[in-house]
Amino acid sequence: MNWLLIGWFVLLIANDSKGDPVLWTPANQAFEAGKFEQARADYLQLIATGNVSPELFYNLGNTYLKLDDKGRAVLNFKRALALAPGFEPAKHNLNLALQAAGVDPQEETLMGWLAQSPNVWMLGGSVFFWLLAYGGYLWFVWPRFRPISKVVLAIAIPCAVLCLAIAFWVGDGVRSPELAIIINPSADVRYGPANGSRVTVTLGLGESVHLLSERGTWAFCRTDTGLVGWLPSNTIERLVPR
Amino acid sequence: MNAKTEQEIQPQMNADRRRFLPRSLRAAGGNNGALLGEVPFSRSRNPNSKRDSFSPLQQSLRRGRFSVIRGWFRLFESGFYLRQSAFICGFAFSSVLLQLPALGAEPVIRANLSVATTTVDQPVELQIEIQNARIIDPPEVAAGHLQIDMAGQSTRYQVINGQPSFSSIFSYLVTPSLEGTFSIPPVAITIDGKTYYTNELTLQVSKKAPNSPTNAPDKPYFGELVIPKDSAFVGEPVPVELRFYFDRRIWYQPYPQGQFPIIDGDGFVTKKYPDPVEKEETVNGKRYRLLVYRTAITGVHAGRLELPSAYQEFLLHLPVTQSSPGFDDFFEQSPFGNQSNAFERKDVKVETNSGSIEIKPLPEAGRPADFSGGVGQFTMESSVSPERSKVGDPVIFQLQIKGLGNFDRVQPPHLEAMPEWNIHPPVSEVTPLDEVGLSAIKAFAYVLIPQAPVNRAPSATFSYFDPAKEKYVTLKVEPKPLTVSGTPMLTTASPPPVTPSAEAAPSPSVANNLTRFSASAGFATLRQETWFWIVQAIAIGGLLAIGFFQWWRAWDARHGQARALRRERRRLYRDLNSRDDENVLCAATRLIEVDFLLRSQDTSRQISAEEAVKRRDIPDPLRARLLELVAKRSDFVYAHRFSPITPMDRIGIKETLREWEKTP
Repeated sequence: MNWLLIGWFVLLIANDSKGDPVLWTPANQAFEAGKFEQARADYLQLIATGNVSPELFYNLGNTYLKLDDKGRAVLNFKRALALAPGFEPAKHNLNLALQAAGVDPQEETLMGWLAQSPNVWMLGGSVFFWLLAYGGYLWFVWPRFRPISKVVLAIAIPCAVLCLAIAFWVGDGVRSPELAIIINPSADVRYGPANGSRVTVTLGLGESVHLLSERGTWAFCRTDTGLVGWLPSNTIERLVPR
Repeated sequence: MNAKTEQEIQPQMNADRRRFLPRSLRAAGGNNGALLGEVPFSRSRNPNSKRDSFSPLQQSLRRGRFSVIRGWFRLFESGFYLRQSAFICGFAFSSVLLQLPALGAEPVIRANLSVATTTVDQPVELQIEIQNARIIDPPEVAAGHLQIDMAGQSTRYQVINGQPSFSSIFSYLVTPSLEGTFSIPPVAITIDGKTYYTNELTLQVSKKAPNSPTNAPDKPYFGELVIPKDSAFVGEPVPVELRFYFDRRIWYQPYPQGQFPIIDGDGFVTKKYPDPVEKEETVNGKRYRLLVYRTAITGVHAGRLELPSAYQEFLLHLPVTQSSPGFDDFFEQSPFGNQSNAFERKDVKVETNSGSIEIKPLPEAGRPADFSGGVGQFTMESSVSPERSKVGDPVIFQLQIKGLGNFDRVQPPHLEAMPEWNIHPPVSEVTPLDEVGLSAIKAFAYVLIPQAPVNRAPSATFSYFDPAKEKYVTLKVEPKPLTVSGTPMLTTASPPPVTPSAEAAPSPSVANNLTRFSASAGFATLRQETWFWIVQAIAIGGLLAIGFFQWWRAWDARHGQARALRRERRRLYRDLNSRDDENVLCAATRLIEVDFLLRSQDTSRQISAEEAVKRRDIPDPLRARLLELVAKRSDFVYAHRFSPITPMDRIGIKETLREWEKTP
């Protein structure tokens, strides 16, 4: 286990030593110079080449705000928060963008808060599960270690149950590849994949849906309230960029 | 019957003065007698002639014949007329009933011109439609330099989706006498004591078309391209007419049906064609039927724009003629000449003349910053609703741009930036006022969200180029007053999110992009990470390894002694071949003990060879031989009485031990 930690540390150092990506500085300079179209193109190219960072999505969100594309601005601030849930500048500008679009910022729910960090619950569940397993082994195999294993089991059992239950409940959370955001001022969820079909519910900018399937220019989605229906594909964009 | 009476009751005659009289009656006496065939004519001509104005049957009745049934017939006759009258009255009554909902609705009044541009002395049609009201007298329409004559009146009743509507349509011919832009002022129409007004219309009149041919070719059909101007600016729509003339006796149809004329060439764009108009016109003293397609062309580059001839294919039904020498007319124009009743079908391509127009560039000087390409003459009006609102409630701010020009290039006007208003992009709608769409109203509806209390809407400006004045014009609508109450949505006086001036605020602004770049592992969850599953595998492996170790230790504790005995037995068998006799005897004795222990499943206890031989149930001769072997070894070890072991003895020892092992 020690060797694994050392390896992880070395990997972190290697990552840091790579430095900023090539287009990062020119994109920021283009933004500062007011060339927002150029900045947007550079940021998008950075994302396309596999560079992801909360700062990158935050800057791209700002660029979209400058270009008056509030839907994509909200999307990119949410992407930044999906990578770094405690990223205060992104939270602040997300609220500003929603306010500018005439949308009330949504109140944070328990589910929403838990779903922000799906990896924490998965990692916690994993660690406590193995503590439980090794502690139980100790308990049964080496009776002389029972005082220690008793303490370990007393901590590991509730923590493992809690973390694994939350991990199972939130799934991939905000990092789910099926999670999409409404980028239009409003979008009608319809019973069928046709403009003439009856409207089930109208969603506002920034609301999230889960994509269940796609057919042509229509996407079959489930809303946060559990309603299912069809949305035009151009009104939504996946939170996790492809 | 006297002569006067007979003269009065003469029947109608045809062209060769033959009476419409049945052959039988003519043969029977002609103009007197029963006069059965003449009665219908005489009745209408001479109502005073009572005797002769009734049918023979009635006359018979009057003369007293069939007196028995006379009363019955009158009853039948009166019943017939009664039913007819009731039917007419019922129809009229139901018509009125059906119209009642339409007449009860609010009147809608529209006025439009068939085209918004024309040339001097070329009339255009003005229609005033009054919906949901019945007007008898045509409205008075007058405008300077325009001769306006009443052309007709019609009514229309229609039911659409169960909703009846009734319209009165008044048509006028508007003939301009001068070149210029003229407006037809709103026409006042009084309905039930209330006065309504039509919309104001604009007619642009240019001088006579310079590109039109002066004389029509001497053909039964030909085309003509009419361009009313010889110069225009880039982006300025120029109305053009494509006229196709046909001799009156030719039946024609665009082929394929619905096909519109094609103007080849580049450097210009054309508007969508409306449905063509049919007319009659005299050209060079000949009457032609005329099919007129109206459109507009817009030059996209400065320079001389050459318009090649336009063409349209038609399917014609031409009368087949037998030509006579000395006549060069196409169809031998005499109405009763050599023309037969046969027609010939022909698919022809009718081409117009070509034309050209000078396209001038838009001047660079004085071009406003917000000019977006609109060319024409426009006016702008604004409205806001509701006029009282609260902070956060949307307000619709509508701007209407009206006039004559290229509405497809008219972009949303520029609104004054006010921090109190959050302005959303507008939606636009174009309402054409003529069939080509040069005269139109383009409405932009903005959704404004008040962020704080405010008492006026933003002002708006719109810039366009006026080709008549040859200069740029900027229209401005003054701010509309309204009342927005409530508490501000923004607690600090921070500007809208897109303005970079929130640096003083403690929290970061959107203007401040971050320069550090902390590489992230991406959006992959732990479940998608390989290292996570490697760690899980290591944890499982560790647990399994510890378990295996524990099991192996237990297994070894249980089976280790037996393995050692088996190992010893293999070694003892090898010792049986030793040259040292003591070794052979010791190995043989130990083999007896080992074999007994392995068979007994209790490898931990100790037992002597002699005891083993005695405990086991074996044949006596074998037992005796084994005991002899044990005793020999005891003598050798403890008494040092040595008797050498011959090779035959060795074989015997091995055979004895084999028997010992084979014994169950």
